Amino acid sequence: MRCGDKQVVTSKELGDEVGALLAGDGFRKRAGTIFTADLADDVLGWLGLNEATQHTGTGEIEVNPVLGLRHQSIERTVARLRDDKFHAYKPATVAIPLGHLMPENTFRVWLFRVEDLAATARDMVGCLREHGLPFLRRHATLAAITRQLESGPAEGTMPEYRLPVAYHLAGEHDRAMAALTGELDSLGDRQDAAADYYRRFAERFREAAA
Amino acid sequence: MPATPGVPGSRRDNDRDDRPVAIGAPDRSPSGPNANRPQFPGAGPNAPGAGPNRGGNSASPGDNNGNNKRGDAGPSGRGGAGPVKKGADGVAQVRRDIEAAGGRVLGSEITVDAGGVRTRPDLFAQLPGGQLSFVEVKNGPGARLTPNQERAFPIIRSQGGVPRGANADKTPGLESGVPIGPTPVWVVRLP
Repeated sequence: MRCGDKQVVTSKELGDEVGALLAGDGFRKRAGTIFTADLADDVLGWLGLNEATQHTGTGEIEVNPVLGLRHQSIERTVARLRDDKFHAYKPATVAIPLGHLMPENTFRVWLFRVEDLAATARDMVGCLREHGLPFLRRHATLAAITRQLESGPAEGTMPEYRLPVAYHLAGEHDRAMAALTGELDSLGDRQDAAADYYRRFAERFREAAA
Repeated sequence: MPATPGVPGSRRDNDRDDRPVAIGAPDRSPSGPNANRPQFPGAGPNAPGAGPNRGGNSASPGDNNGNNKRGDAGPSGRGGAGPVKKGADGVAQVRRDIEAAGGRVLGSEITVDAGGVRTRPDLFAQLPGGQLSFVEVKNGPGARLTPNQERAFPIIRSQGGVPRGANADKTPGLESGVPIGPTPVWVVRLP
């Protein structure tokens, strides 16, 4: 370390360090500190490192590891009905911060600095193995992901889009239409971009389901 | 159906969500029952907080406004490690308070486009009662909203916005590029 050198942790270094530790657990590194693992047919285990730097010291990265499950058929259908381009691994269908799966059930961050990058990564991955991966493996089915969309504890990623699709994929067409109609009713006369976006989705959903 | 900030099902518990909120007791005495404790919707008047009173005790030479978030000294010579540390303390305290009151912090520093500007609130959380909200923490008497925050926050509250960037996809409940409906933005002011 020379005088004047900056000690900075970059996202790439963070991703490489965590990725190397997770490789043995079946995770592969994707772009932007996202990691996925094939857990079951059509289901990806998902880890995203939510990085915060605004209030940390220079070169430090505060990480909230977010675990998720991604059901590819749900995501493919949602993308098609919204006329979005299908992304292979973003977003997770349901997700939850690792800290909320730990016994303390509270928000937990890990602060990564150059001097203890490897040790912090080992600690975080250790917690992930102990508390996160069992949760992912227990819920790697359409039925379990649907339950998470309905009532958590994992948070659905915009569940108003995904829950009707999940019901539809499970053959529960009446529930799918009821969920869709309920959401439409709740919009009332809202005219904002999100409401318009959902109405277009609902229209295409009904056409596809007819 | 869980409440989401997005489109449908979005819960708006009361009118207080529609305006900027200065939360936190003006009394700087750490002995007061609510000293420096932000009050969130769904939390009782004595919602437990955590941590010592950190408000107003920074020895920072800067303006303590938390806007110079990397701690780099600006042209005026303000900034430095003091404001950054103070900002970090404030965010950590608010995170603890949200969780202690029965809420859940879901993510940090999510970029949102609204009203033609881009802003990045400190936190995204599920508040007690289930409502998903953005939270911006201002720590210190001189802390102010940035011009982009002044413009974007009312629009996020009334019309919603579009989450963008890597953290949007790594925050439960949000999806980059997909519009969210009217969503509360709580500005928590710590003395």
